[in-house]
Amino acid sequence: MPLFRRHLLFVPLDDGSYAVKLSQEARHGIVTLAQQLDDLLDTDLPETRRLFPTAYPEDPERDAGYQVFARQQLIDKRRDAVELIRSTASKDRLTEDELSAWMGVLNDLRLVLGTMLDVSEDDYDIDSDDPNIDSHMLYRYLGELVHNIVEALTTSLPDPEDESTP
Amino acid sequence: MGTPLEVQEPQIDLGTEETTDADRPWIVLVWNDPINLMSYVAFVFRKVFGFSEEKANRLMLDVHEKGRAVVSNGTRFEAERDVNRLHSHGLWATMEHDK
Repeated sequence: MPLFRRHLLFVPLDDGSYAVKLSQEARHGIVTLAQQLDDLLDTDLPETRRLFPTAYPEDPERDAGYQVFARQQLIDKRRDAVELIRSTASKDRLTEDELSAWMGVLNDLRLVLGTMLDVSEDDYDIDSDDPNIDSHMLYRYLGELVHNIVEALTTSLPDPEDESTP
Repeated sequence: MGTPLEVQEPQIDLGTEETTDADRPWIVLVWNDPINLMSYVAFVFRKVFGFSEEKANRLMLDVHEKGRAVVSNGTRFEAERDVNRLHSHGLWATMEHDK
């Protein structure tokens, strides 16, 4: 059991859906960020590097072959998720698929932001004089959102080897 | 093909098989990165591979502490499919010939 305080921003309900406990301001911010992610997808900017990883680090030729299909497919998948966020942003209840799309986009945003901020440690103190303090705070907030969604969606996973689960 | 080897079937089979014979020489690695959350990585392992919570957490900790972990193996086609599924979740996955 986690010892830290849980915010329960996303609450699994008995019918298999998830209640979303976010302010309108937070929802609006998420849609804006999702749009920014969408805008970045077709660019070759270095901060998108983590969105399109290398499959064959020691074999550039094979990797080029992989990227031919993977890059566009990863872009399309992300566009679909962004679109799903747009269309569900104001809903108080999300399906598992919708919440999974939210998680994917929010995690992608962390990948982009973390790359921009050159994050190199799992946990770090934010310096109050840092000119990027807003971005660091946003990065941390996105982490909190992703963690909350992971906790909510974990309830949907089967765990056949865990005998302690009722 | 010669005599079939007696292989122990995994208890759970949700699309991945854990065999390591010579016909299946590719391994899929997930590398440690400072961005993806530990809880997220373990969740993705469970979702993509159907691993138990215990196995997913063990592999996640291997990635975190040892810098990388082998999460699946198979033919080149299977490994590429797994790498692609991990990439679509933002994990840093690569594949290589099993040595």
